[in-house]
Amino acid sequence: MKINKTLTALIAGASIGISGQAFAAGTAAGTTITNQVTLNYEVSGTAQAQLDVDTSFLVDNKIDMEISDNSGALTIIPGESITYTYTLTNSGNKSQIFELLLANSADATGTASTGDTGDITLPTVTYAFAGSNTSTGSILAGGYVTIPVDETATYTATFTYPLTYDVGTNIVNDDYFHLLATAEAVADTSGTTITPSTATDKNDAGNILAAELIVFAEDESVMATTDTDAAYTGVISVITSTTVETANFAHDDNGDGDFTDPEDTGPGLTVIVLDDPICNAYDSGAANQESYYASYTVNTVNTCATGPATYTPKAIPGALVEYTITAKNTGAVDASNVVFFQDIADAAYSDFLLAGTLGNEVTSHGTPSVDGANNELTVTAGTVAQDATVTITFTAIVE
Amino acid sequence: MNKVKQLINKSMVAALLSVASLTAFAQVELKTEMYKVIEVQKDNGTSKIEWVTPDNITPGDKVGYRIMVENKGDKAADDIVLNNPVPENTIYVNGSARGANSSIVFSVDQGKTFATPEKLFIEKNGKKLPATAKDYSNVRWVLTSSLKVGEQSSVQYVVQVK
Repeated sequence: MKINKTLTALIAGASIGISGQAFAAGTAAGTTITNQVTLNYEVSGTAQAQLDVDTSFLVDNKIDMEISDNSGALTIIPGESITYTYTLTNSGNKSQIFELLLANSADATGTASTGDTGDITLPTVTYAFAGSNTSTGSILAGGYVTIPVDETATYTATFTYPLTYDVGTNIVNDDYFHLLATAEAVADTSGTTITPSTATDKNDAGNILAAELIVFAEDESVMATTDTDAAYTGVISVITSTTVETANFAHDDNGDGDFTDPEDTGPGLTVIVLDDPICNAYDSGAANQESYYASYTVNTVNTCATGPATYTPKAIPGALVEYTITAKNTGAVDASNVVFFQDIADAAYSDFLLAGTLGNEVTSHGTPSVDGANNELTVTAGTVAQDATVTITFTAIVE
Repeated sequence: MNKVKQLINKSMVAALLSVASLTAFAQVELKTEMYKVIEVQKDNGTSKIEWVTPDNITPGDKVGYRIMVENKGDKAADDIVLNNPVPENTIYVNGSARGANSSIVFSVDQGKTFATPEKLFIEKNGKKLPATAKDYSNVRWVLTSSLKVGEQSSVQYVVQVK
């Protein structure tokens, strides 16, 4: 507030409690308030004509609103629908049109952009009001609602969290996203911005008394300690945080029992050459085996037990190769309809072609099958419970 | 509205620092100034009440009226009584009525009767209850001394816009 022409001297000693009682919406904008003072007096015992003075002003348009998020902290499993509930209250003193918007927010600080680990491209989110207001529409296309003084509009926005993701091709448990719900006071349902009365308007004596000025009066929206949606802007917003709960497959790359190392992400594949036509048997001592996961590079250090002492088995035609796929569901929920696909002829080990049949399958979930034309192994594992581990071991002869 | 504008023009000609209106007669002049009453936070954590030129007035705001009387005649003015109904859509702010050399009384019955606050009662649900500031319908200042030729006096009070 601009304070000028202060006349404190006039009221020296006055102490008037300002806090007072709270008014909800209060006197309607445009109401004329008139103070009428009358003076009676006598001169030399004779009553004189009464004097009257009126002073009037118009109550200005106080645009004020509150928004709350009734949803709390939410969790969502991909593929499920999620509903956010918002309540917008017109705390001003005139019926007001609001534009509703919903957007991704990078984080709890209210920056309207993508950036959360679980952000999705928001589909067209429709809103529906509860109670007497039955308006419906699309928030993302600019939803508008007129709320009378002191009334509240409760609305919901529902969408389905997708099974396919915008961020990469995967999502992991505990990914999260924030939605920024905004309500802006606007002049009409085309979204015309309201310009509050300027300082010049407010300092004009004629306007003060006779014009209905516009004043933004809403509080700041506190998003987080680091950022706010400033007060007195005609815009108010709230952020909802949602955590994605999903299954999460990992393996233990270095065998330390910890499945959370960065290199543990996703199912693991071990490829070991057991023997080849030159080295007829391999030394099965664990110290002599090396497994390769992420790179899928087959470069065993198995030493040859019965062949040349320094010979390392090779993936040459006729070699027996053992594949092991391991995957632990380290997520928050059971995974259903799990299917593992393994391209046996994938880049780094494309020399290892299956003989066309599997041998010595050992699998904890489902039965492996091979698509010989595509050199792809498929295991339909069904449901893999949280914390359960899938192990699929099979052998193949290099063609 | 014409009346309002006319009054404003007069006040501006008079170069008043605030929004004001006045009516002049030969003997005694009555004039009202209107202010916005705000609480200003000071650096030391305390706050003070200031009367400022209003920039806007919305519900919850407090409006202070300063009522000035000046004897411009050539005889003393006696038994001066100022009566001010609390405007519609406002409530009287407790303790805000002031005025030198005046006794201040209030009404809770639209000005039919006046009394000091401790003697004012209202009826609610058949019970007689002490009146509070929000019940006041009128404020009256009775000046306890005459206004001599050339003298001026002022009173004031504050309302809060509902």
